[in-house]
Amino acid sequence: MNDSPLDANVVAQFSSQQIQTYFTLYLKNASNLIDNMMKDLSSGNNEVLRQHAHKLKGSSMVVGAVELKNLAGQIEDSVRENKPLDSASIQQLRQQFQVLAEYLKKRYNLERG
Amino acid sequence: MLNEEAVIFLVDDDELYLLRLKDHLQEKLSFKANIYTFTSGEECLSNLSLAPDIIVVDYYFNPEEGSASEHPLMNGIQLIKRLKDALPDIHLIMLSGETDVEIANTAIREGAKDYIIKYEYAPIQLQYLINNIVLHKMFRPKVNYWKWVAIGAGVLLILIILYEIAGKH
Repeated sequence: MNDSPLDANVVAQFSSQQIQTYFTLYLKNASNLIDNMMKDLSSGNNEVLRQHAHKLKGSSMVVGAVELKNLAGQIEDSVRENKPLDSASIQQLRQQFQVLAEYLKKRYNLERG
Repeated sequence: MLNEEAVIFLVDDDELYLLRLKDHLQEKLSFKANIYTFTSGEECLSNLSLAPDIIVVDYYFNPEEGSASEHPLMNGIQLIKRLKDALPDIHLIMLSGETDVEIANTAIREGAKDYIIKYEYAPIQLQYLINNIVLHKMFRPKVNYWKWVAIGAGVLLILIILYEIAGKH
């Protein structure tokens, strides 16, 4: 059973140096984006929330973080279609991010910046 | 571009996406290229003196945290319009996660020659597209060369005819 939160086909394209560089940058940026999305939701700034979700979707796609890409895409679509959104969606995103961060720490000895 | 390195600009507010795209193109393009990355349209416009052959532009540019309301950044369509005005012969490509057909149509109307949707294999699609563009440009000087050979031959023929006519008188 594969318990990796990453798409193995995407990661296979990276050199070991690229793995270090990409995931270090991803951990820092994704963490900031999720924090910002929570603030956007609290302040009712839906357009900025959608843009942050869009950016997280793109970054997650680059590193093969499939589940995070899908969750961010769902939030982006919900905001675009004016569907009600609560903090549970973003909490789910944060939990998935923590799963990924733990995996990267174990697998590649990468720490969150 | 025939004997020089191609100059490619990549413009995207996602630093990670830029890094991955640049690495991929540097590894996989079949010709030498100088690839420059910019995180905003403004930064791209202030570097046009580097004479880019191809510019790849994202649609959304999120401003840095805290500056959203004071300094809204131009989006990819606005950037394409400015680039087309400044460099009419440039090959512009929009690469965006935006799947709205209206945005793609507007990008093409404003001067983008291609529109690629960001997905897992977009870097490979972009690699093939850029290879084709550069290959096409490399062959263009040969076409111009044969055009001038034909004109030269025509002029020479006219001179010979005039010489023959003058000789008979």
